[in-house]
Amino acid sequence: MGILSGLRLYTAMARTTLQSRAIYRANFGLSLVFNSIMVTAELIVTLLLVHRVHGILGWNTAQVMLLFGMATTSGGTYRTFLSELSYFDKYLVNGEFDAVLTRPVPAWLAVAGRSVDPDQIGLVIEGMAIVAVSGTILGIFRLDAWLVIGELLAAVVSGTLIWMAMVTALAALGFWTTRVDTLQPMVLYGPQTAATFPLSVYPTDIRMLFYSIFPVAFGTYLPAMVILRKGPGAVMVLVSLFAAAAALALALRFWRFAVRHYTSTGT
Amino acid sequence: MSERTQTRSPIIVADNLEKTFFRGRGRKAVQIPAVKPLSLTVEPGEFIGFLGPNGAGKSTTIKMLIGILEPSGGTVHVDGLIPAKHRVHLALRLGVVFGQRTQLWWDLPLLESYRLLKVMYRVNEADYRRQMETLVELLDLSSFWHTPVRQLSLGQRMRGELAAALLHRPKILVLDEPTIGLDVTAKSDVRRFLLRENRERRTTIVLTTHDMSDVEELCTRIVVINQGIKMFDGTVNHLEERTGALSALHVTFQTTPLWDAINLPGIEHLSSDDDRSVLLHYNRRQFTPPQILEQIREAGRIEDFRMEEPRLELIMRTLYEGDGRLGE
Ligand SMILES: Nc1ncnc2c1ncn2[C@@H]1O[C@H](COP(=O)(O)OP(=O)(O)OP(=O)(O)O)[C@@H](O)[C@H]1O
Ligand SMILES: [Mg+2]
Repeated sequence: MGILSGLRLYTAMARTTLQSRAIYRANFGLSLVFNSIMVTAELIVTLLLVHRVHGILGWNTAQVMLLFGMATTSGGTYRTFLSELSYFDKYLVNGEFDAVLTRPVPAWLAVAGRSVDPDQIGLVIEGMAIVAVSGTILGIFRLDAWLVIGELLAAVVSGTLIWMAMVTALAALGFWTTRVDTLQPMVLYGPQTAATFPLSVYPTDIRMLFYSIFPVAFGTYLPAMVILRKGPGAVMVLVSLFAAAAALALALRFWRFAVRHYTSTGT
Repeated sequence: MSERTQTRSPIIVADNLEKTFFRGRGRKAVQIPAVKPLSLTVEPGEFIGFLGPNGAGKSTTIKMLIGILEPSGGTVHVDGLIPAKHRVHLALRLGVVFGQRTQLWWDLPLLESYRLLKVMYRVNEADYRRQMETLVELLDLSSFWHTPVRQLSLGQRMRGELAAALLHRPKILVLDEPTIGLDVTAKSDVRRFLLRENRERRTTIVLTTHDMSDVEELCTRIVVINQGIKMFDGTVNHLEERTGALSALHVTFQTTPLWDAINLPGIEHLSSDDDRSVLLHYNRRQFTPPQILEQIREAGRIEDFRMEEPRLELIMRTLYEGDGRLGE
């Protein structure tokens, strides 16, 4: 399927999903408030922690806040576009996936089309606000503002792709195990939360995991190092983008392999 | 897709198709051979009744035909494609209805579902209009066109599902129990529609059902499977020739009859609703009703009798319950 027809299909499916979600629209304001309380609480805890230890290995409070803001933004973006995939096992358990597979649409695209969730946009806005505030405190926009903004955007894209890759791989595991929800905290939310802190706080072998099996480093830490001019050159932003895209491509291959092991349900 | 290529070659070819499920994990895993090597050939324009008792493997076979399940063994080609491999491509040529489960968007009116299907199946505006007009008329959709699917009655929903499956004018229609739970009128509406689709548009249809009158009215050929094995493949008449033309006679006596006098060779005494009546199964080619009545006169005074004609249902029952061998 070509990119263009894929996009057309996706748009049509997303529109339909939005229409059916509109029926429960009363939720929007509520989840906005709820999300922002959650994010603020998490941020406060993180910052208190950093403040207590007088910064983490050369990262001051504002820098950690920037990292946190970047992670929140890409997490929110992924949730806005691919939320269903995190509870994908329900499709497998109740056989709803049968209906997905009868349509002339690649299965992943069809699930993505059902995933659009505008309620999560609040997270993106909050993440961006945190980035803006901390960035201003740090003065990163003073010189080369456009370059920095470009780097931030690229970072959000890689962060989102990493989320998508990890969620896709995990959802694909659901074709073999019914324990995906017990794995989720460990292999998805764990690494993603870890990535809201400077990865230098972790022992080397754990840090290596974050560059390989759970490649969260490319979504937050590595680009943030570039943006904060902590050593790595601007090319690392592109490397991160490339790594994130490769991770998603790999996850999608695994997904397609998994779909062929779908066993459906008896009635 | 609007023009039909009139090829002579079969549209569905299954060759030793197999599916084994595993229940449980690791060493304790149990194998469930749902479909044992099954071969089947369907020509374009056929209306196949795919029959068998609960758990026979009908749905499993259908899921392999449309690419939802990958076969454990054997091969299958549908319109020249390998379903599990070319699923997306094949789906463009298939219409699928699962009676047990909706394929429509639960919260949306039918109209919105169709708009999306139009994009999914790459139907152009003119074809969409034309086909929609036909479907709305034939299936009488206009009265609930704007109602969310979850508020539709089962009969309305099923009409909606059929329209959804036919919007893109598929070459092949696959229906897994499309008449389940429908009342008499809804059933006959669905049947009339399917008959027209098959006879006028030459759409190949594969249908599973437990309702033998669906089969009698619609199918040009039946395939019976039991425990994953094909037991019969041919026309209804052909099946009757092989199993004996089963008929039933329901007899009511004035008082409780002498049961012993009803035990006649070649006539099966099946069931009775009360202690005064009896249901007899016999072969139409062997006996006539007057002959039977004559023979059971000894049992008591007959008050009433009536012929029952659920021919296929009787045949199926003997097929499902028996050892599966067809009397030759
Ligand atoms: N997804 C599945 N996983 C495990 N076992 C299954 C699965 N689907 C079906 N089976 C088993 O395979 C056998 C065949 O089931 P199938 O659903 O194909 O029967 P069927 O002929 O459609 O029956 P029915 O008339 O009840 O719909 C049954 O023993 C069933 O329990
Ligand atoms: Mg079934």
